[in-house]
Amino acid sequence: MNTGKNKKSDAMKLFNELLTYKESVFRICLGFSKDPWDAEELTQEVYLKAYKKIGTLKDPQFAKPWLFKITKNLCLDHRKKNIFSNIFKSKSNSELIERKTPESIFFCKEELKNLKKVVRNLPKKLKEVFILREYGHLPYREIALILKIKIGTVMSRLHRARQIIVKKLREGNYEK
Amino acid sequence: MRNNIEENFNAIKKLIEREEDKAIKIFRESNFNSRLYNRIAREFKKESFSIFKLMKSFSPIALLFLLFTVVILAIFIIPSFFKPKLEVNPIEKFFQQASIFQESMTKEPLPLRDNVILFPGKNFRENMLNSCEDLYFSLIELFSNLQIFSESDYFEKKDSIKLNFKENGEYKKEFFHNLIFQILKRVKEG
Repeated sequence: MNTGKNKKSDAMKLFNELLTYKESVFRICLGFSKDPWDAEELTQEVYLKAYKKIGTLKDPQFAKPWLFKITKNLCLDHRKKNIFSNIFKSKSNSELIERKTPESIFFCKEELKNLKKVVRNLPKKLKEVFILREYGHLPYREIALILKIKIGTVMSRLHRARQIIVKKLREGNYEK
Repeated sequence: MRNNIEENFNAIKKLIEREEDKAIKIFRESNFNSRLYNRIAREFKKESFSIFKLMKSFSPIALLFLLFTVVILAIFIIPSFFKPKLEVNPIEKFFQQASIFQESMTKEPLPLRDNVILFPGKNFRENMLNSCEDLYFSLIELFSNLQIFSESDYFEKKDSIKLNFKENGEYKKEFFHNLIFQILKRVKEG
């Protein structure tokens, strides 16, 4: 009985520790999503999933990469699920305009929208490395651990991602 | 080439940083932790339906009845599904019945009339008659299995045994002697 209680309190302690990374998680979600409101929803989803699955985490030492792995997978799944609904509605854009705060006006800016489009249309392998590095500010070693690839691969994928983004933005070719 | 990309990318990086700064500002204002805990509480309230909770809502009598039914099922009914159904070999059955009959014949029966014998002691007589009846049934069964008797023969003989046996516990010796004689004759004829 006591061990069960201890386990639960340990899990809660670990979960509260994971909450200290919420801004990193949010940044990664921002990279994958259209706007901060969408990213905030996704961050909630990530922590909800982490809360449910925290009992399955064998080594608390790897809690941080485990959390970022959940973030990456959930964001990719979310994108897949919303790919069709996004075609039919441009709801979030109209919402942003309605809010009319300095932030919302910023997120409506054309150059940011174009960058988002280009990032979204990157190949999956390049996109995840790019977002984890540029939005999540994660070191190469951690990205390699999350994606289970070598550090050299992380660096080369990041370089290729940057190359494609620069090229597409320069050419004005934002779609696939 | 590499430097060129990095130079161009610096402008993009600045744009990302600006986007992040503005977004983080919104995120910090959103009271994330309390909203998250509310959501967790809501989700777990939904998911907390379990069989134990359902059982708690039952009355103790209903629970006892349920438990009793489960025990009865576990002890008596379920094992019967797993019992192998034994198929008795007719020859073995015949010899079994024959040995029982032989045992019951060790005591001398009292002759009543010419062809009718009554056994001393009610229980003994009944045992004797039952084992004798069983013996003849298994004998007929054996011979019909060996295709010495036809199916109609089998039923006819079975009925006549029943008729000749249960007449106030009387045992018609002649009838059975005749029957055995018929059987042996058929066996001989092959």
